[in-house]
Order: sequence, then C-alpha cells, then structure tokens
Amino acid sequence: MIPTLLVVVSLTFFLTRMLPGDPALAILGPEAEADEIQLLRQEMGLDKSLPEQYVCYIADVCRGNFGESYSYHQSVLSLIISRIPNTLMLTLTALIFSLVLGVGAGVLAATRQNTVIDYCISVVALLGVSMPVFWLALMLILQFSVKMNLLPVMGMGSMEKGIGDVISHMLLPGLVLAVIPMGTFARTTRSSMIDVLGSDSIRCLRARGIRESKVIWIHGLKNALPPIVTVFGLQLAGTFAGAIVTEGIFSWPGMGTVINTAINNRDYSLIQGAVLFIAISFVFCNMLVDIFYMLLNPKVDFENGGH
Amino acid sequence: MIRRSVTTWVLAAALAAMTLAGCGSSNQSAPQQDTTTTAAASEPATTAALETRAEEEPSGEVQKGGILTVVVPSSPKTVDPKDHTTDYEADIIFQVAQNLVTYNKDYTDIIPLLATEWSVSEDGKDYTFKLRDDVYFQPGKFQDGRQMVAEDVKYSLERIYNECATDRICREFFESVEVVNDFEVIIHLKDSCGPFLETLCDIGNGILPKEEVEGWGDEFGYHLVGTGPFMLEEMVADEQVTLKKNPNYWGDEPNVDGVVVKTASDNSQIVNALVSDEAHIGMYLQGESIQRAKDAGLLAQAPATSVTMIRFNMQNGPTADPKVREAIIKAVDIDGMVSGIYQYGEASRIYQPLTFLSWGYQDKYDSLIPEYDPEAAKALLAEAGYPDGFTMTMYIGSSTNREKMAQLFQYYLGEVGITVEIKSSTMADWMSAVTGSYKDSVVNSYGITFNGTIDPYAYEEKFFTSNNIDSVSNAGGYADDQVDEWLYAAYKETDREKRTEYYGQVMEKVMNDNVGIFYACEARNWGIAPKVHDSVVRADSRLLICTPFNNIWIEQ
Repeated sequence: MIPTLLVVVSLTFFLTRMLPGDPALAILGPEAEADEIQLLRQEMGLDKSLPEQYVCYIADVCRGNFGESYSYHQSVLSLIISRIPNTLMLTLTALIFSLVLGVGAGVLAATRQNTVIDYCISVVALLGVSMPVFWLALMLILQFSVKMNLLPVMGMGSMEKGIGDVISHMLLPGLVLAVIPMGTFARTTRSSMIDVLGSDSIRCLRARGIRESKVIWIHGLKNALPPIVTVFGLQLAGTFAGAIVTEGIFSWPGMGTVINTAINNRDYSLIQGAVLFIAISFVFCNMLVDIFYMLLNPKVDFENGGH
Repeated sequence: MIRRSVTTWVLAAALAAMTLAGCGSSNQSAPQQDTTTTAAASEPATTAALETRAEEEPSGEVQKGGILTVVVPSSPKTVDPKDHTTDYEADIIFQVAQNLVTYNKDYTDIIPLLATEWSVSEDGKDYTFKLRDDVYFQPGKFQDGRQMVAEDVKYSLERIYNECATDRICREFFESVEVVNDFEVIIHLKDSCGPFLETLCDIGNGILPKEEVEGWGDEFGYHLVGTGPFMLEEMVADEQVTLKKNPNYWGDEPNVDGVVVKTASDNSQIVNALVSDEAHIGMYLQGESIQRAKDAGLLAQAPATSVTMIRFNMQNGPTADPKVREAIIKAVDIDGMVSGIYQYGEASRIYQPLTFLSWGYQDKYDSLIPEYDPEAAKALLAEAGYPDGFTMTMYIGSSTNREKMAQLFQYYLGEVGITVEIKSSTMADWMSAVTGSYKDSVVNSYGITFNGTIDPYAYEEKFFTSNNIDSVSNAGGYADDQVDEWLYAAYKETDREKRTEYYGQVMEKVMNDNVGIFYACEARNWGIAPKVHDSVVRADSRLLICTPFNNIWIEQ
C-alpha cells in the first residue's frame, strides 16, 4: 500500500507541475501587475526549484501536512474532510439504489430469458450504460424542475428544513449518478445468473423440491455474486468519478466541486491532496472487495497466492 | 459594399451552423434553442440595443420582508476585503462592509457613504474626510456594536496598505492616515495622485473594526463584520452564503430580511433556478443562457466598463511592423465581427481602448481606426514585404466569445493572405503564455477582455505604460517614452479636465500606432425575477441591494 501511495503522490506532484499555467496568475487574474504576481509566487513557494518543492512536499505529507489551498483559503485536509460526507452520501445512495434495482432487474431477466421482459430489461440496461450523464441530468432538470416544478434545480438540502428537503435535493443527482451502475449491474447479474441457473447444483436443488423463489434468490444469487462484487468494486470507483460531473451540474458541495475548482485555479496542493485521497479510497475499496471475496468463497486464500 | 454584406451573411450562417453543431453534440441547451440560434443568425444582432427587462407593475406599496436569493457562477471563498480576488467575493463584502465613498447609481461619479464630505488640498496631497457620526458596527464576537470612529478608518486603510497582496490604495503614493478627531481624518499622500479618490471606492478599502479583524485572525474571511446593511451569518464555500438584515443599520432599513447567495457553476442552471422560482437574481449569464433568460422575460443588461480587444506583439514578429498592423486592422470588418460574435446582442461595438462610460472618453478619436478595406490591406502588406502574406498566431483563453472572435479574425485575415493559427487554452494557461510574450515572436496577437473603472487610468495606464510590459495588461510590449510621460503626468494630476487632456494625447498616439483592435464592450447580463423591484444592473455588475440609491423589495 505504501509504495502504491508513494507512486501516486509523486505522479500527481509532477503531473500538476506539468499543467500549463501559473497558479499565481490564475489567482490574481489578468488585471494584476507583474510585481504582485511575483510576490504571490514567493508566498506560495513557487520560486523554489522543482526538486526542492518535491522534497518539501513529501516531507510535509509524511507529517500529515497537506498544505493550504490557495483558492479556498483553507487547509487542504480540513477541506477534504468537510466534503467527504457530502460525496459519500450522494455516491452511496446512488450505488445502493442501482444495486437493488440493477440486481433485481438482472435476476428477473435471467429467469425470463429470451422473453419480452428480458429484451426490455437488456435494452434499458444498455441505454443506461451508454447514456451521457450530463445530458440526462439537464433533461431531467428541464422536465422535473423547470417544467413541472417538482424538484429543486440544484444544491444540497439541509436537515434543518426536514428530511423531505434532503430527499428532494438528492433525488435527481442520485438518479443521474445511479444510471450507469444500474445498467452495469443488471447486465452482469443477468449473465452470471444464466450461468448459475443452468448449473448442476441448481438442478439438484430443484430436484429436491426446494421452493423456486428460494432457489433463485438465495442459492442462485449467492453463487452468482462474485462477478457482481467485482463489478461493484469497479463501479464504486466509477461512481466517484461520475460524481465530479454530476456534482458540477447540481452544485453539490462535494469532492467533485472541489476538484473542479482546484484544477481550474491551478491549486497545486489541493489537486495533490484530492488525488491522494481518492487513491487511498481506491486502495481501500479494493481491499474491501478482496475481503468480501474471501467471505463469499472460503476457497479464496490470499496466503497461497490468491485464487 | 455588396461583397461585404455577403461575407457577413456567409459568416453568420457558418457560425450558426457551428453553434448548432455544438448544441447537437453537447446537448446543453433546451430544444427551443435551435430555433433562436437560427433566428439570431438571419438577423444580425443590433449591438447597441441592450435589454431592459419588463418589471411587473408593483401592485401597491413597497413590501417588506422575504429572503432574496441570488445565484452566481462561482462560489465566494473568502470575504476578507484584504484577501478577496473575485467579483463574487466583492459582491458579498459590499453588503457587509462600507467605504468612505462609493459610486453612484449610473457609475459616472463618486458619492459619499461613510464620509459626509471631503476636500482635497491645493497640492493634491491631503484628503480631508468628515465622517458620519451615526454609524455603528454590526455586533460580533469581539465587540458589541460600538460606534465607528476615525481610528477605524486609519486602521482599515493602513491594513490594506501594509498587508494586501494587490495594490488597492495607490501604494506608491499613499503615506498615512491622520486622525484629527473622532469624526475627521486626513489621508496624506506622498505626491498628488489622480485616481486616488476612485481607489477609495474599491471594496478592499471597506472600514472594519480592529477587534474583529484581530480577534478572528485568519478566520476573519468567514466572519466579516462591518457597517453595512447586511450581516454575514454563515458562509459555506460551494454551498451558500447567508446574510441577514442589520437591525442597527445607519441608513434606510433594508426591505428584504436577508440574502442567500448560491452557486451554480453550470450557467444554464442559473436560468433554470430563476424559471423554477428557486432564485430571484441570476448574475453573470453567458451565451445561450442570455437568450433563454430573454425568452423568459427575465433578462436585464447594462454595458460593462470593460474593453474587449485584440492586441499585437509590438516588438517581435511581423506585427512589430506598423504597416503590417495597419493592414491587419484594415483587413477586419469590425462591425461584422462584433455582430457575428455576439449573436445575442450581448455587447456593443467600441472604438477606443477606453470604456465609453468614462468621463475621459472623447469620441473624436473614434475615427482614427483604419477603415475596413481588404484591397488597401493587401497593398500595405506588399509594401511591408509580405506580398504573399505570412503566418501568425492568435492566443485566446477558451470561451465561446473568444473562440468566435478568433475564427472570424482568422477568416478576415485569410482574405488578405495572412494565415492565422489559433491557440486556445484555459485562462490560467493563456495568461502564462501571454505574459512577457513581446520578447519573442511566438505570440503575435492575443484576445482578452479587460475590466476597469470609469477612470481612464484603469485602461490607458494599464495597457500602454512601459512599466507594465511584463504584466498581462501590456503583454504586447507597447513602450513609448512620450506616452509614459503623458501617463505619469495624468496620474499625478487631480483636475479631471487636465487629466482628460493628457489621456486624449495618449489615445491619439496609440490609435495612430495601431496597437490593436478594440472592438467590443461586453454587456453585464443578469436574469431577474419579475417580482423583484428596484433592482439596478450597473456597469461594474456590483450586487446592489440596499444602497443610498436603491432598496430591493420582493413582491410576496
């Protein structure tokens, strides 16, 4: 884990430095004069050489100091910590939503293979996977917020105004973010279930007279889970990336908005901090997926070289 | 003439096609946009007529109460007058903190705010201000709403002088503030300074209570306290800023109980929020959002104090030759270009590197622009040694208006044999590329909008003094000793008439030197809900809610 993170930290450091554009200029704008820009560069430590900046940065990160964000006038760590709950709330809601619906639809399609229902689900799932997220978002806003005036256009609800406010603000962005994973879950579940339902073990269970619903939802789904878990791990990452776009459209105050602002303002320490955080969460998610595998299938043994 | 108008039509159609193609692939607009874009193309924009929205007839008396919701494209991050950098932040500060003096409703003159009157000494070095004696600070954590006195003026101005990263107070000329008594101060300058009084209108020079500034320290940027009509209640970056009415405000009581400023980085979302009644005012609309606001009857526009221009590299490359510069200007049909770029009528044609709203503007210099004449341009190019043209670059920070400009510029110059390579990048990247670019011939020309005040200093000094050749404002590297001398004289002079004369001389010289194409004054575009009354869209796009000249109220 440590080497992975070291590579990520170094890569981000040099990649952000390769971004064209001077942060001091980006902050002060075209109206600023040369000496003002020079002053800010010094204050930001940009007048030092690149290796010097790198060593300072690594030393700071090891001490848990991620620096100050110049565009937010706040410490990077506290900024990220304050945004994580907002993004998690959005992505987890979307994921759970898509998991329940996607897996349900997938199982339904698998048990009704080659019927109208199966075809409909497959087409909808395919549409979901290939839908451009921002287009869908704008269309939904036009329909539900502007024309019908049912749901808020943007922002995050506040608990002070009641749970209804939170849910109504969550509906559109949550739905938009859920569309891609939902399609993916449905497709994966369908193919995995078709394999499992055709296997000898299921035929045995049916022969023993066990109720069909139990065969499908408990025994069938349990055996079909491994590929779904893998896809879940991937989607966790994908949804996080998708949140950058969705948050931008809905003005959701999460990590996505922070990353957008950071990149536009060439806020080096914030970009680095945010990327490092995402890398850590990816490593963490992968670990979770591996552990989950182990629970699902005791044959998976990490000490003897995995499965 | 016929040829010219055909060209304009072809260009307009091509641009419309490009815009439509853009709509198709990005799908960012409502379906009705397609028809309006076409309409705009077949009917070249009348650039002079800006939209004033039809305010709903108020059904009676001024109504008090309600929360005014405002949407801006980028979130305010810090509202310490010393540290703020964006207009969005300045708009918040303006509600909370106040200056000695401020601009009037039309943005043509300066009126008293915390000062009641002022006088300038004969030598222009001492400014005496008499202060209001009925002004109290908003109560905060470190003081309970005490009276504002001269000592606070001294503290606040000297803080900006000593600690601000940008120069907001004519730093080279500012010396000190002398407290005469509780309600009188004298500001001493090292030498007379023409733009000084205007500088005091900069929101950075708002008067603050020392206890709060020092008590909060670095956190003052989220806990601003001043003397204004609204108090800062809460500020959450990327979410919203909440302001509430100051019960002890010295001026007229604000009609609204509070203000909420929200952020929508996606411009079409600002209009959506207005249409769905989630917001009252949407600021800084762009492109198609302007048309949507117009269709919904929400659009309110005002010409901005800004200059949108193409500047040439004055020291290197082909544009270092005055004949080439003249030829380039002659090759461009500027009227056609402006109506091609601003299809929604969101800009007016200008002629000089100075806003026409400035008191120093003299229209007699308008005619110094070389007239559109492609044949003469070709002849000039041949004379300059480029009978077959040449290749040059145009650097722009990517935005719709700038990209359309670059494409039209490329088209017009192509007609006289000059190949233009467009280099488009993010604003941050653009600024790095352009700063200091006069030193070599990589950047031959660039486009930018530059915002200023109504003092010609904010344009002519910034654009043409040789002191600024390493800043973005004069990146083309214009340097002329005589112009420097005039600019310095105008800077030191306090009499407006004499300053106008100096700036006129500078104008004549730079126009004759063909330093660039100063083509448009982009408008301020706001969307305002019909039930909002007494709103003002001013040239500087300041959010004016409760001021000496207006007091917004919302029909319930």
